[in-house]
Amino acid sequence: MFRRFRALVKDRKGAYDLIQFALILPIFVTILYGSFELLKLVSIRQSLDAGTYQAARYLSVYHKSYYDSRYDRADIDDSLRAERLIWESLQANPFISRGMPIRIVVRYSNSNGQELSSPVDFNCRPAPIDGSINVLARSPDVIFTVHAQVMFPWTTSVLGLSMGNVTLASAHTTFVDCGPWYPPPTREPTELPGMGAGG
Amino acid sequence: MVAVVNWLKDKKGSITVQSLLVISILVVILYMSFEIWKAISISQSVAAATHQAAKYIALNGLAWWTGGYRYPKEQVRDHVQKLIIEPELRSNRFIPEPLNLNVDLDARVNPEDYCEDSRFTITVRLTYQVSLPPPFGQAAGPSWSRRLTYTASDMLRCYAPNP
Repeated sequence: MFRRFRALVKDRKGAYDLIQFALILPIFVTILYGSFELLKLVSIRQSLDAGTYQAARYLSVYHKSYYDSRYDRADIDDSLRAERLIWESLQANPFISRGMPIRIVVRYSNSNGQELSSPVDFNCRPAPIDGSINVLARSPDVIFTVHAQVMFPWTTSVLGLSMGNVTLASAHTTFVDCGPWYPPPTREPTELPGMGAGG
Repeated sequence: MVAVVNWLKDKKGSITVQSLLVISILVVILYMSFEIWKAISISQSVAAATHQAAKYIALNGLAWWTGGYRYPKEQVRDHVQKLIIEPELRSNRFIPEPLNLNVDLDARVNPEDYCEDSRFTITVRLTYQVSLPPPFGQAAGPSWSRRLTYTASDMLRCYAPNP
């Protein structure tokens, strides 16, 4: 590299190397700058993914039917709190500045793909059959997907040029966690509980 | 270094060959970086899907297998695959459709002491094709079948009484 640079300085005969250098330099700068912009997008996408995962986890665990009765969660807007988790995850990314006009769209769908307004309205109160909830049969009510979309203007940080809007998306599927509800044995089981036909 | 200016005077063609070599190496490096990024993203999705499925089974497994519903293990596996694992994997746009997925579920329930001795293992195998760079002068290259496997084990949980 230094040898080439010395040759460039000592080059008295022709401007070949200098012109060559001038031609190649913008290509390399563009590649370098493009890599940086790509890193920026990957990093923001990663933050969005982490935020969506946290939101899905929050909605899975802390919902209105939260199984610890010491916490009254009747008045808490869980969707709003979940969206705030996504927002906080994005704000923690150094590539997103405070004043950047970001638009976040969060929507929820059940296991049939239908849109839900609030994914955690499922009532975790046990059914009478054996003190349990037939989660397998009620999967459209229990399983949900959090879809998050973030739109922001793609402005190059060096030149300040606006390149249009970028939209990044992420989604995570989870379920309403009604807690480990199955009771421990109170007496010696007289009949062996089977695993069904497949067990 | 790709010599741009000397190219026109290059009668022997050595600079052209040199340039083509360097450019092709750069393109292959760029392409492989993208493929590595894709592979990492896909393996993260497989891990997340397996963990979600494991958590779901851990909390509800005893109800399915020793409660009043008595679902076959295969039905639970298909249910978890269709409703949790597949949507989670489909949310990653790098994973090509149709999904080539194989899920194994193994559960052992001790009826004498099901709260302390009930374990399960779920294994998710995803196979997808990675396109290799085409040989010089050809439009399409060979593809390489890559299989990702992720296994999660946990206990089937009993209800924890309120303190």
